[in-house]
Amino acid sequence: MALMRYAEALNAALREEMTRDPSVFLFGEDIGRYGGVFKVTRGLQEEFGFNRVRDTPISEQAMTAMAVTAAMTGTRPVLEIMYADFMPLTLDALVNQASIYEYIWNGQVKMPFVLRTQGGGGAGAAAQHSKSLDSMVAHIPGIKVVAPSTPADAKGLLKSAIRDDQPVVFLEHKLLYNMRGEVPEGDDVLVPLGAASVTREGTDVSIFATSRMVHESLKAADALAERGISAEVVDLRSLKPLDLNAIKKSIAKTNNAVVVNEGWNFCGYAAEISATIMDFCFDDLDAPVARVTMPDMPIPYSEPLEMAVLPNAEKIVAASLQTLA
Amino acid sequence: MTHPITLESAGGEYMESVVVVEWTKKPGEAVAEGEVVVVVETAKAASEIPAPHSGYLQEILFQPGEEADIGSVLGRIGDEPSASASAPAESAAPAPKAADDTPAPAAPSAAKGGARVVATPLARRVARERGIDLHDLRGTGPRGRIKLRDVEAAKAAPKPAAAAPQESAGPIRDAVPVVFLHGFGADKTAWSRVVPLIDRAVTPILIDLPGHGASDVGAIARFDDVVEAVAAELDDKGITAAHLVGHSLGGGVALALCGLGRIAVHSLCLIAPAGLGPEINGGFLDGMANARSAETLEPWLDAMTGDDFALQSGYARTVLRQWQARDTQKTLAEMAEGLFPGNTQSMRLVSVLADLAIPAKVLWGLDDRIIPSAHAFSASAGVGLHLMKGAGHVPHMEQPALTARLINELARAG
Amino acid sequence: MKNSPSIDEQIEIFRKMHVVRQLEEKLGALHKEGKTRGPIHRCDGQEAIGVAATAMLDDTDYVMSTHRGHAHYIGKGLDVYPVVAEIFGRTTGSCAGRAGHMLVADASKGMIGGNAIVGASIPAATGAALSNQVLGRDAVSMCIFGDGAAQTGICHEAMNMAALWKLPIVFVLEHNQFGLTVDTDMQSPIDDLSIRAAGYGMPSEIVDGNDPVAVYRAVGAMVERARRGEGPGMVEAKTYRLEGFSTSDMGGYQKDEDIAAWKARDPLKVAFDQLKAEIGEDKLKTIEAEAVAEVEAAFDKALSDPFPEFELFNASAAYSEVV
Repeated sequence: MALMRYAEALNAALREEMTRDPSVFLFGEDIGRYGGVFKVTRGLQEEFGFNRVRDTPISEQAMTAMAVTAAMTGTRPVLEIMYADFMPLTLDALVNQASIYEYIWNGQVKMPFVLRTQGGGGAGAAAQHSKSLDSMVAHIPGIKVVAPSTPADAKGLLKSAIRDDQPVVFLEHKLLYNMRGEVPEGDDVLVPLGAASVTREGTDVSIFATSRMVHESLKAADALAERGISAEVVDLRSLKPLDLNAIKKSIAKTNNAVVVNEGWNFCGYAAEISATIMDFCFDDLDAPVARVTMPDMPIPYSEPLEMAVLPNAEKIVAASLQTLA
Repeated sequence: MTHPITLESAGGEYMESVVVVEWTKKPGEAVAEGEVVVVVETAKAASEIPAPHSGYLQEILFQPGEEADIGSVLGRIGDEPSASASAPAESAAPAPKAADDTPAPAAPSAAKGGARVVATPLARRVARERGIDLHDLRGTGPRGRIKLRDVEAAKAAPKPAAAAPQESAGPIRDAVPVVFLHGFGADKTAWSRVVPLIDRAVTPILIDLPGHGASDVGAIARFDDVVEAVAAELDDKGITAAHLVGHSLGGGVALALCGLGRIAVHSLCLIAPAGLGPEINGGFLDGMANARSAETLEPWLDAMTGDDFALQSGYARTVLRQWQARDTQKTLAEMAEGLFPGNTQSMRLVSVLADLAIPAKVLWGLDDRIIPSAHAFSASAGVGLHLMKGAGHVPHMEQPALTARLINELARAG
Repeated sequence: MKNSPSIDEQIEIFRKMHVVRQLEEKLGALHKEGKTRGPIHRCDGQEAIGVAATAMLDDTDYVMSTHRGHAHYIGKGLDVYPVVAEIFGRTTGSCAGRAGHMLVADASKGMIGGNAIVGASIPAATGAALSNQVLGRDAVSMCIFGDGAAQTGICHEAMNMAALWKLPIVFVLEHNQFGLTVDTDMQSPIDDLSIRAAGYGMPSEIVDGNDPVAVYRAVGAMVERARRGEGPGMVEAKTYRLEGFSTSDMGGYQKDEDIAAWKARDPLKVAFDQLKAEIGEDKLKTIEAEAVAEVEAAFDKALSDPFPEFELFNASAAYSEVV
């Protein structure tokens, strides 16, 4: 175990995978000489050279499309899109290119690339730099989506994502980069895609959370405990493929579900989890599934306004109490 | 947070509904816990309903003059004055309760067969598993929703008296259901012509015999085990007393259930029952189990009915398709082999019938080509015999009106 | 320098051009009988570009094509039979009937793909070139695109990066004068789109797209250059789309005199004339007849092939089986 920041854990994962596999290369805006605006790629260009750590022009559309074919032709690109808010620019490559070829070409090609990006609010970055567009990418068949909430998962999941033969959108959170945590050492310590993690065990209500919302949910669980309510916090981690068994298991125990996601409410990721629970756990539910999400509106700039729209521990407590009413 | 205003019982007298006389508060007005908020009329007199909680009258769900099931939510009290007190207080025209976009959530007691029960999926499942009728429960969740805790509480509470056999079998409602048991090779849909004609006061319960229809019990080759399995299923459903109606093999099962004594049988209607003699049409049994096409099945299905009645065209094809989807014929072959070895009825139930001390009838079509109608004559003198001219083996399909009438007579008498 | 085709290469180009023409004409005829499915984008009159531009490539070189790619598929080495079977949705198609005529691929031949999002093949080919450069392979990547695709924003992004990083890629602009129904002069203020190459510091050449030898020479030079690591180049091949946008095109916007003029310079005639002195008209007629027979046989076989059975595609399952 080593104590690392989330950003350092990602950096370690990239370094280890690049060392292990010469077909892994990185490209993105400001990632080389500067080491990335969140310092995730710090030192990697010096170590691996420009050929494998490329600063790019501001060309998200073409970069993503290039990652798709680069992946089809023998490399494992890791593309950095600086803000999740820029992902709409990548959509043709994801929706019309990456998601189709493995199937429509009858298995002739594989698509091992990772699109790293970061999203989320709380940093005063305003309406075009604060979004969580999880559902937009998770909606696309053939695209895997991962969102680590701890340094250990950041490292283990990124390594798994790079080794995966399908496209993985890797969602980081800007407020987590400085978070410290114990990270297991070793080149082959992976966190598998498709496995949720029970962060805190409980018996009365299951809180299914993603990314930074896991930490808000843990705070909420503390507050609920003071009221004698035992909340279980499940970090979904792998947004797709989704660990259905973990969800079923938790709801079978608690019979109550609250879903927390920083994305918009309508057609959002929490809606998908909610529908999934209805599909698979209906007869175990003792209350309607509650959602704690971003209201369907732009993210405002001014601090009190931004704080008002973000899901937080207080809202999670309220939703949990309503579920248990 | 809102608090429902409900009428839990009307002083113990038997009734299903009340009429709202007046509201003493207008929506938006403050109300203190215990203060009279609404007056309703019961069979005896006007009753004053106190506010269950202090707050503000938020919604009126039943206007004066409207009838409300016992246990309905009559209105709601909110913790805060509601800006959206939509219902105009003085609205003279009785606004239909559908004006509320949330379904009037009659959770609680007594409204059997009345308003929809609002309960969580888990509460429904557990209640079903434990044979608890949700109509008997009062929901403590939001808007009167029945939650698991309410079902758990009901389990602990003493059974309401309604579950006991009725002394005075009033004409209105009979808590004892009629259980229908179909014949060999059929399923519960065999009763589709009769059930709509059964008195509305009694609840029909249709059972799929083991190995038949949607039963999740597989083939059972011993008759006693079939009876045992049906008894267990009735147990699971929480049925402790019933009127039994059985046809053919189901008739034998019904009769045997009387002998078993696991449930209180209030009356018995046997239609061409098995168990009253040795003969049975072996060709019919083989034909059912072995037909591989609609063309080869059809003649055997036709053998069930008398000359006056023809099954719908395409019936054989439909039956066969359902059987094939469930691999029913393998089960039928196995069960026929055990229940009717060498085309002989293995169950011998004449003495059970002779010992019966409840109202009972035997119905038989005189043109029955599956089990000879002469078996009817082995019934003892206490049993009513109805020999049906023109009918074959399935009078409940061929002459549903008469069959239903005879069942209703038994249900009222029993 | 391998920038002129040998006689054998020229004969092979001639043969493939006839295969493509026969393929297009058969498809047109079957469409009229209602025997095709979905729109089909024919490339009659444009065969010289697709066939000659790809003639000097190896299987390890990549080609990214368009929705009008039949000449590119055949040029890059696909047999006509799996292409026909794919167009008719058969299990024997190059993609087992899953792709259809716009999205044909055969990775073993380096043909990765028709692409029906106009403009998308430009970054696609650039990405494959990036892959070659990262891994130090001497393979090149070729993007064949149209004058319509040249107007997309992603074209600029991709060409900029290709030139910036000196990626081994050749951009072949198959200028057929139309973006769907709109002529090129309603889509761009300039006639010669390849002058934009200068803006990326990239060499370019304009050729007669109906002359297979001219196409071969120009493209061949760019391919050699890219393979040597000197970066990308562009060839603008001028041609004309003779048969409308697709089989669902109602027509009426192409001028009769334009069509007549371009038909007079049919690339099949140009190729014939370039070879007849060298190997004789009879031999060429025999080659032509063999090409026609090959296509006929491919249609006969493909049309009697079975359709695929539907199977749910599970590789992208939304739920994991982990734990």
